[in-house]
Amino acid sequence: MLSKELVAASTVPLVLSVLTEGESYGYELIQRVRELSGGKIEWTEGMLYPVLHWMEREGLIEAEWREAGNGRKRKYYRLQHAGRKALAKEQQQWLAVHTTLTQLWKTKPHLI
Amino acid sequence: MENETSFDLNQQIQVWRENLGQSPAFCGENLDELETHLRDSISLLEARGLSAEEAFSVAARRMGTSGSLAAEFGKVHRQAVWMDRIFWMLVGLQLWGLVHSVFQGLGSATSMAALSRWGALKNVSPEHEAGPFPYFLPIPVLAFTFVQLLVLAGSLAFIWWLIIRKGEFWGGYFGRLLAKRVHLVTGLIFLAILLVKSLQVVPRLLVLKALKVNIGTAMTMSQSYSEVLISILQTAALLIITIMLARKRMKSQSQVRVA
Repeated sequence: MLSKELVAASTVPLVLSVLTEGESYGYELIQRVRELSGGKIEWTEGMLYPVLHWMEREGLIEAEWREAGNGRKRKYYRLQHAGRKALAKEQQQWLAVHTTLTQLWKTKPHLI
Repeated sequence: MENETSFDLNQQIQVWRENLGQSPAFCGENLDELETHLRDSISLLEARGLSAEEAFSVAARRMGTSGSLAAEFGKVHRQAVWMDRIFWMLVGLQLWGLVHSVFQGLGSATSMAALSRWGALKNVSPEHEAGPFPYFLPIPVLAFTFVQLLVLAGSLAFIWWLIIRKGEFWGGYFGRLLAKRVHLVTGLIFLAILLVKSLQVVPRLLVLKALKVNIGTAMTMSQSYSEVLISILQTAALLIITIMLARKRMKSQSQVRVA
């Protein structure tokens, strides 16, 4: 399980990244992230939807109500240009942290 | 049998949704989105072999309590939350005015009647009234003050009971009523307040008239009339703001129903 701070920091880049695969809706986003993380990242609805609405307001993503196959109406989210730009920036930063940590842990594995 | 359970499920979801809708943190669209989410979740659980009822309770529990959901949603919808708070504060303020007026009307009428019965009002003259505090406080002044204190305490206690003890019940009832017919309800409140405001002053005027009390009666009377006028204006102003906020609240909660 991720810490609260890490969840808060990683939600936006994760949502943006999942949306690069194509449009999606809240329920599916939660499932997809759970599956990719092997169950380590378990989002709650109460956390995700407000973040999605904030991202929509910021213009990172765009939302559209559409009827799904089963006749249920769903709000689909799609990546916007500003979202792609934000994701590129996020990616740089996360990779910077990632490479630094991996290097440190490679040379001193006993630390872990 | 199957029809019965699916009907039940829809009803349960409706109740769940209405429960969430009590909070200003959600607009109609948010509720639609959460409802679809809940239904997706239920479908998946049902596909795994749970009954509709079990699936609903598991899915609803996973979504979290309405309080925790509202807290999270409220962070992004601050304006709506504050508008709602101001709305309920105004409702409370008017309720307070209403309750206090009723108590005051009763209090001043009974105290006047009682004092006049004892003949205490006859000896009162304007000089007495203006006597230097606190040396020459005439009995009527003391008596009225005492009654006003009682009135204050009584209305405070009543309001306390109404809001703290029964607030959830009446708040929910009032909210639902307001969502359905905002004009009728606010119109009725306005009439009620007018009625009560006049109740507050009219008995006093009547008693004064009946007693033919000679303590600058004309002044007291015109004061009373102006009190009524001012309170009508004040009430109208407050009500207009309340109606505006109520309509805003309604707009955000009126929902595009999910099929």
